[in-house]
Amino acid sequence: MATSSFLHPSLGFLVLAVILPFLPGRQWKWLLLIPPVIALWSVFTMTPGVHAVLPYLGEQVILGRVDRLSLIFAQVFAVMSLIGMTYALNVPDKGSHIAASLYVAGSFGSVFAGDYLSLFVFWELMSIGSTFLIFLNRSRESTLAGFRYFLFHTVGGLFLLGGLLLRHQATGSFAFDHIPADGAALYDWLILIGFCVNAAVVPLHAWLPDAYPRATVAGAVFMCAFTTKTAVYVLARGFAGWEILAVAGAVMAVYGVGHAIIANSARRILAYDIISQVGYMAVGIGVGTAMTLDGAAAHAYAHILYKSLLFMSIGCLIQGLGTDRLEKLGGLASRLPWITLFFTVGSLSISGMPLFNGFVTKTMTIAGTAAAHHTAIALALEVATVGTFIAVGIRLPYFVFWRRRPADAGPEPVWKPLPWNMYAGMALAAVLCIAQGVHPDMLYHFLPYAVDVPYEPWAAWNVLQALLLLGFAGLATYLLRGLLVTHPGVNLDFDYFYRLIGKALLFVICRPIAWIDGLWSEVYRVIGLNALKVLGWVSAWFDRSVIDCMVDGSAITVSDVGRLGAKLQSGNLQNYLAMTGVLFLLIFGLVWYLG
Amino acid sequence: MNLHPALIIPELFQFLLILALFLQSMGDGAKGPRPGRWVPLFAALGIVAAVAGFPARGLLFHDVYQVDALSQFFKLAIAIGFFVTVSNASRQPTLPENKRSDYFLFLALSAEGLMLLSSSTELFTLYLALELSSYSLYTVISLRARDKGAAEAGIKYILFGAVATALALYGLSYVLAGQHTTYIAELTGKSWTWANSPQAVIGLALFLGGMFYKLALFPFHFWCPDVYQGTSNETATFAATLPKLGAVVVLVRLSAFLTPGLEITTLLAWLGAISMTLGNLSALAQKDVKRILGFSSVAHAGYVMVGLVSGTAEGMAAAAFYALAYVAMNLLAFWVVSRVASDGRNLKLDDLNGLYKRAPVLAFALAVGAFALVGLPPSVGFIGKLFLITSAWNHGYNWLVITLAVNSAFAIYYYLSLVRHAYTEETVAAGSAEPDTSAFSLVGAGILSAVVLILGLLPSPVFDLAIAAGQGVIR
Amino acid sequence: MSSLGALFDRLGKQHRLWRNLFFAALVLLLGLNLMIRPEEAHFGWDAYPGAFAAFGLVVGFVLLLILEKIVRPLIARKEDFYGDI
Repeated sequence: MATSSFLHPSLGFLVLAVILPFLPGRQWKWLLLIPPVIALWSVFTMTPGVHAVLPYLGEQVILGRVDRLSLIFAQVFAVMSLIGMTYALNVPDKGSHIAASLYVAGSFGSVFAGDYLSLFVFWELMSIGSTFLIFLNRSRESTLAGFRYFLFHTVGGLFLLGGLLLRHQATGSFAFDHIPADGAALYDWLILIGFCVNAAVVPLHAWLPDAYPRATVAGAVFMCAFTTKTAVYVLARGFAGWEILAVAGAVMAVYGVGHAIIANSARRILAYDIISQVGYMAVGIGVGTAMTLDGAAAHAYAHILYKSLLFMSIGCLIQGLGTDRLEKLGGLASRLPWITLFFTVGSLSISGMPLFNGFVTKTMTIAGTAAAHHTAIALALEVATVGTFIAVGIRLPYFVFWRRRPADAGPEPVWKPLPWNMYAGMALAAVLCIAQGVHPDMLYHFLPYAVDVPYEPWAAWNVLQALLLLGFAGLATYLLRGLLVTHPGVNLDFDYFYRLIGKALLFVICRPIAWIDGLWSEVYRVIGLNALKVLGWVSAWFDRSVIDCMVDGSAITVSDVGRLGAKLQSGNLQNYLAMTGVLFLLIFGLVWYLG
Repeated sequence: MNLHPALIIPELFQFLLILALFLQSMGDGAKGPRPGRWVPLFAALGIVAAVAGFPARGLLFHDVYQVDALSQFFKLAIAIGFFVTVSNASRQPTLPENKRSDYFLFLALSAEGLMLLSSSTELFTLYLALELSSYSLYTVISLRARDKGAAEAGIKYILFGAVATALALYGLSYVLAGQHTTYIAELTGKSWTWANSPQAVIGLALFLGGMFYKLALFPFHFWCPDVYQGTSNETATFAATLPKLGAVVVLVRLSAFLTPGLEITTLLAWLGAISMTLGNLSALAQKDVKRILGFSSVAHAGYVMVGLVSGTAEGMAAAAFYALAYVAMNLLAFWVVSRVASDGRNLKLDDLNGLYKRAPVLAFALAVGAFALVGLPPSVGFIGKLFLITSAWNHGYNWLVITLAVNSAFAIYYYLSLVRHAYTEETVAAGSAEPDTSAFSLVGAGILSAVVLILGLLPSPVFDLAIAAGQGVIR
Repeated sequence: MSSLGALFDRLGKQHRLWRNLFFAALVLLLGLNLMIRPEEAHFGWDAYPGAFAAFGLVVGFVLLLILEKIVRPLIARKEDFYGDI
C-alpha cells in the first residue's frame, strides 16, 4: 500500500465526549460503542510511520507515531475500550461516559505521541478523566479519594513537565525517544519519576489501592487498564534498559502480592495485584532485551484483559450486592454461577495457569529475565507468581465464592439483577483470555521486537514448571488454611507518609500565608478602601462638573449647527438648482484663486 | 468592431433579463409568473454570470469599452446589489400590480446602464451609459401608490438630474475642445493644470458635476434626502446604493490623471470635506429614517473622495472598497427599513421604538448596519475607513483625513440614535403596521449582517481584488 | 438457581473429592518432573527434580506465615483509620 493512512483513535472518543451532553432521550447509549469500533478499525488499518506532524510555536508536535510498540498497546487499548464501553452501556450517568471517553482519548493520545508536549497534554487529560471516574461514585469516601488521587497525579505530572522543559532547555527538542541509561541527566530522572507515578512504582504507588476501590463500578474497569499500561508504554519507549527499573519492578512485584494476600476488600486485593503485575512489566522494561521487552508488552496486553475481567466480575458483585468486603461475602458460586465462571477465568489467567493468557506472557518475561542473567530478579518474580496465585487464585475466590457465608456477616443481601451488557463485557474478555492462552500466536504476532530464539510457551518444561509452582503453592495454602481468615480493616501503606507530608506542607506553608493574608486584608480595609472612596468622590465630581459640561456643551453646539445646516434643504427645487450652481462656481473659483 | 461576446457575459445576461421583462410588461400583468418571484432568481443567476465574466479582459468597440479588473469587479458588485434590491423589491406594498413588470424592467435597465458605465473608457460612452441608468431610474421614483410626495420626488430627481447632465455634456464639449480627444487613456497623458489648459479644466469640472450628482456629493446633493424620503422604501434601496457604484467606478477611472496638487484634485478634496461635514451635521436634526440615510449618503460620498485624491493605486482601491462597503451597509439598513415598514410607509425614528421586542433579528441587523455606517470594528465600515485613511495620509491632504475622523465622531450620534430607538425606547405608536418577521425577511437580514461583519473581519480577498483593479488603472 | 449454579453447588460440596484429585495431580506432576527437566537451568538449582515444587511450597509457607503472622499485626488498622469514610 503506497498511501499511508492514520486516523487517530482518540478522535471518536473526543467527539463522543463533546456531543454527548447535547443528546436527548436514552438511545444515545448505543453511540458509546461507535468510538471503540472506529478505534479498532483505525488500529488495524493504520500504516507504520510518523503521521500528523503539526507545527506549533516553532516546535514539531507529533500526534501519530506508529510503530510496532505503539501499535500493540493501541490495539489492546482499542479492544479494552470496546469491552469497557460494553460493560458500561447500562450506566445512565452521561458524566461517567464523558469522563471515560476523555480518559481513553488521553490514553490513545499518549500512546501515539511522538513528542513530550502532546504526551503531556494527553497525560493530563487522562488524569482528569480518571479523577472524575472516582468522583462520580458520589460518596464522601470517593470524593476524598478522588481528591487525593488528583493531587498525587498532578504532582507526578509536574515532575514530567519539569523534566520535559529542562530537557528542552538542554537539548532543544521535545522529541520523545529512547533515553540511554548511561549519561542520563537530572531531567531524565524527573521524567522517569513522572512516569513512575502513573506506573505505581513503589514507593509512589499508594494512590492506586487508595483510589481504585472507590471508583464507580464501570470506572474502575476502565482505570485498571489504562493509566498503568500507558505508563508501561512510555517507560518501554523511553527507559528500556534502565537497571533501576528492573530492581523497582522486582520490589513492586513482591510488595504488591504481599499486600494483596492480607487485604480485606476484593477491589483492594485486585488493586495491589495490579502493582505486582506492573512490576513484571517494569522488570521486562528494565532488563531491556528483546525478549523481556516483548514479554512486558505481552504481559500488558494479557493483564488488561484479565484484570478488567476480574474488576468486571467484582464490579458485578458491588452492583448486585452492594459490597466487596470479604467478611460480608461467601457462597456465591451457586447463586451467581456465571460471574463465578468469569472470575475463575480471570483468576486463573492472572495466576499464570496454562490454557490462559497470563501463562504465555508471565513465563516469557521471567524466562527472558533469567536468560539475561538477572537471576535474583527472576527469582523475585517467581515468588510474586506464588503470591499472586495465593492471593487472587485461591484466597479471593475462596472467600467470595466458595466458602459458606459466615453467620456473623449479617443478613443475606438481596441480589439486584444485572443488565445483559455487563455479562457481555465479561464474556468478551474471558473469551479473549482463553483464546490467547490456547493460541498464543494470536498475541505473539503483534509483539514489537524480533527475538533470535522465540519463546515456546507450550514447551513441556514450561508448562510443567508453571503447574508445579502453582500446584505446590496451593499445597502450602492448603496446609496453612487455618491462617486464611478475614480481618476487617485497612492495612497501612505508603499513603500514611503521603498524608503526613501533605499535612506538614499545609502547616508549614499555609498557616504563615493565611496570617499574612489576614494582615493584608486589614490594611486594605482600613487604608485602601477609604482611599478608594475619596478617589471615587473626586473623580465623580470632576466628571460631572468639568467633563460632562464640556462634552454636553460641544454636543449641543454641534447639534444646533446641524439644525442650521439642515435648513439649507429648503424643499424647493429652484433653490436647490440655484445653490448648486452658485456654490460650485464659488468653490471652483476659490480653489483656482487660492491654489 | 471586435465584438467578443465572451467578454460581456454579465451585460448580455442582464440584457436577456431586460428582454424577458419587456415581453412580460407588454401584457397586462395578469398572466405569467409574477415578476417578484422569478426576477430575484434570474438576478441570482446574473451574479453567477458576473462571476463567470470576472476574468474577462479586452477592449471592444474601438477601445471605448474596456473590460478589465476594475470594470469586472464593479459589475460583480452591481450584480450582487441588483440581486439584493430586487429581492427587497419583490415585496413592495405600494406598487400597483399591473406596473410590477415595468418596475423591474426599469430597475434592470438602470443596472445595465451602470454595468456599461463601469466599462466605459471614453467620455461619450460614459455619458450615454450614465443617461441610460439615470433615465431608467427617473421613471420608477414616482411609483408609489399615487403618493404626491413620490411625484414631487420624481420631478426633483428628473429636473435636477437633467440640469446636472446638461452641465456634464457642456463640460464634455469643453474637454473635447481643449484636449481634442475624449478617450480617457489619451486624456491621461494631457496636461490638466489651469495654466496650461484652462478650458479643459473647466470642462472636466463640469463633467465631474454629472458624476457628483449621481454620487450625491456636495453641492450636487440637494436632491438626495428629498428623493429618498419621497420615493418608496424599496426604490430608495436601489437609488441609494447602485448608482454610487457606477459613479465611483467612473471617478476611479478619471482620477488616473488627477494627481495631487492639481486644482481639480484640490477641488475634489474641498467638495469631499464640505460634503462630509454638511451631510453629517444636517443628519443630526432629522427625524425621518430615510432622510437620515439620505444625508448619510452625502457624507459617505465625501468619505469616498478621500481615497480618490491620493492619486495612488491604494487610494483607488480604498475608494472602490469603500464604495462596495457603503453599498453593503446601506443595503442592510434599507432592507431593515423596508421590512419594518411592511405597509410601505415612511419610517420616523419613533417608528423604530421597541423593535428589539417586536422583531429582535431586524433590530440586531439594524444595529449591525448602524455600527458599520459609523465605522466601528469589526464591521466593514471600520475597515473601509481604515483603508481610506492609510491610503490618503501623507499624500498632501492630511487635513482631509482629519476631517474624516472628526466627521465620523459627529455621525455616531444619529446612527446610534437609530439603535437607541430600536433598543431602549419602549413606547410603540398604536395602529402602525407590524414589522415583517417572516423567514424571508429574517434570512435576508441575517445574510446581509453576516456579509457586513465577515467583510469587516476578512477584507483581504475583496481588498486584494480592489488593489488589482486599482493597479490596472494607474500604471 | 440455574443449572450451572446447581452444578457449582454440587461440585463445591465435594471437598474430599477435590482434595484427593488435588493430591493425585501433585503426585503426577512430581512424577513428570523426574522425566521432564529444563535444558538450561535458569537458577542453577531448578535442574533438580522437585526443585520448583519445593520452591513453591517453601515460598508459599514463608509468604503466608510472614504476612499473616508478622506483617498484618503490624500494619492492620481500623477501617476508618484516616477518617475518610
